[in-house]
Amino acid sequence: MTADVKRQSDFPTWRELAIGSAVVYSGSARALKTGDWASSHPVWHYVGEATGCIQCGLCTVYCPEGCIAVKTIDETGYDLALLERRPASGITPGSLVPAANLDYCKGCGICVRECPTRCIEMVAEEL
Amino acid sequence: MGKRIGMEASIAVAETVALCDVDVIAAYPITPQTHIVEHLSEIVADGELDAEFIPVESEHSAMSSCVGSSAAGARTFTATASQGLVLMHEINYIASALRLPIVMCVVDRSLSGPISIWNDHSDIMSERDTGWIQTFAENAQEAVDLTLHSFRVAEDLGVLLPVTFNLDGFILSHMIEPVILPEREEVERYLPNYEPKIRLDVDQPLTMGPVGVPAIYTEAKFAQEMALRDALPVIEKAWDEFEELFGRRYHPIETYRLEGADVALVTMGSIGETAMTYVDQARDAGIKVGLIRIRLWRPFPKKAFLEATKGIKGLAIVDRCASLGGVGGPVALELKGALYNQDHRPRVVEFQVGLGGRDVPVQDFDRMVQSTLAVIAGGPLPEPRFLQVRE
Repeated sequence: MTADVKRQSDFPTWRELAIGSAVVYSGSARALKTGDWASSHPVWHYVGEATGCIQCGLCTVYCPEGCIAVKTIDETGYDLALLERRPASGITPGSLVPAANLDYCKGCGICVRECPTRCIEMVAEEL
Repeated sequence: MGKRIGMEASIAVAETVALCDVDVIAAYPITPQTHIVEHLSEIVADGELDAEFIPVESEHSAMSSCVGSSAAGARTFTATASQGLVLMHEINYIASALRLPIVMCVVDRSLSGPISIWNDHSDIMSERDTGWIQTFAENAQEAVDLTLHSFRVAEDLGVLLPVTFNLDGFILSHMIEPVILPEREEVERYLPNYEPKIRLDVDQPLTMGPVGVPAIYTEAKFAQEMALRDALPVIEKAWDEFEELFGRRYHPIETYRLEGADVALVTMGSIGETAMTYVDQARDAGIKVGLIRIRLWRPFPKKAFLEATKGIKGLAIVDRCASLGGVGGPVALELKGALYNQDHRPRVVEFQVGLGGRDVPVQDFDRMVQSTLAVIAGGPLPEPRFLQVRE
């Protein structure tokens, strides 16, 4: 409940809404963090694991939200702590990896379904 | 001031819409509204009005087109009735939520079934909660005057809401009555050019009608509620200025011979004229009865209504709509809701009459008033009923 109240306060009051609730500036979709809806998010298994990511990029194509990008690990903002729990991943700073932007990932799991090496797994959100 | 001429109410409305120099008319013909858009299409086809007439394939498309043209900043008009109005229903909410000053003439007609082309208010009552400003005319002159008033109020930058003005189907829409049409210069003085606050414009892109997530929807609806409430003083001011220019006076709640009355009839629409005839006869016969006529239905003028009911012992409320399975007709429910928390509450007796075009003659008003007099004399309160039903 507390988290919800805090989030509400980030939204405009009724007086602050533009007439007819119009959005009068561009790029507004960015402000709608659809990642709020997710109950789980994708995690990639990497080289050295039983089935590893071959960096084919198909997940980035199939993602309906367009929120998966193949980037160097340093750019992704990827959860390095999570990777550290996977010592066999072979990931080092500078490696190219796919990662979902969790601000927008709705947790649909389509990437898991489409991955040719079955290297993606959905991990439940922590409460 | 224009010349007094004999004209069908529908044609008079169409002529006045043309005088208002509308940019877009999107409409589908439906009885008994047909003459309005038919005549407008002729005016446009004859080159007398520089407007886009969009002959759409349904009323759903009519209102959708109106939303688009009004969003682009065009002065927009449509007219409909009955099944056409309820087919628009979905889009009517969007027009008001987007704050688009579309003006619509509703020529009130009952809803099927059974199929009925005749007059009652069941069509407009289904639009009660859509967030539109809603007014009612009693005669052709009022229909002309409310046409002007509707554009003036809708486009006021302090309002920016869609307006529907109502004419009773056939009973009023098809009557040839004496009317004074305004002169073009008078219209120009009363109705300035429409300059929207925001509009669809490729050079200044914006989004109208974005998704309202749970964290936004409540605020969006409350902003709309406040806009509708705040429209009331603008509606009254527009009638003040109308009187200055044209000499005819309108109020949200209008009364007739209410002084010293024990019972007040409450009517909406053309039936009020028959009720006035009844009140004159009853007063001559010594019955202390007056009349309250609801001119403005949304936003509901609660204060003016309560003011009118002061000292009244019994209200005989006339509903032109059957509300099935509830505790009364929509007008009666509204008025009882307004009265409930007041210290002074007249007894309320309600009647659902004039359904599907059934005539409501003077004698029926006498039955309603006699029934209400019996209640204030201590008699039992009758169940809400269809007064005219054959047992």
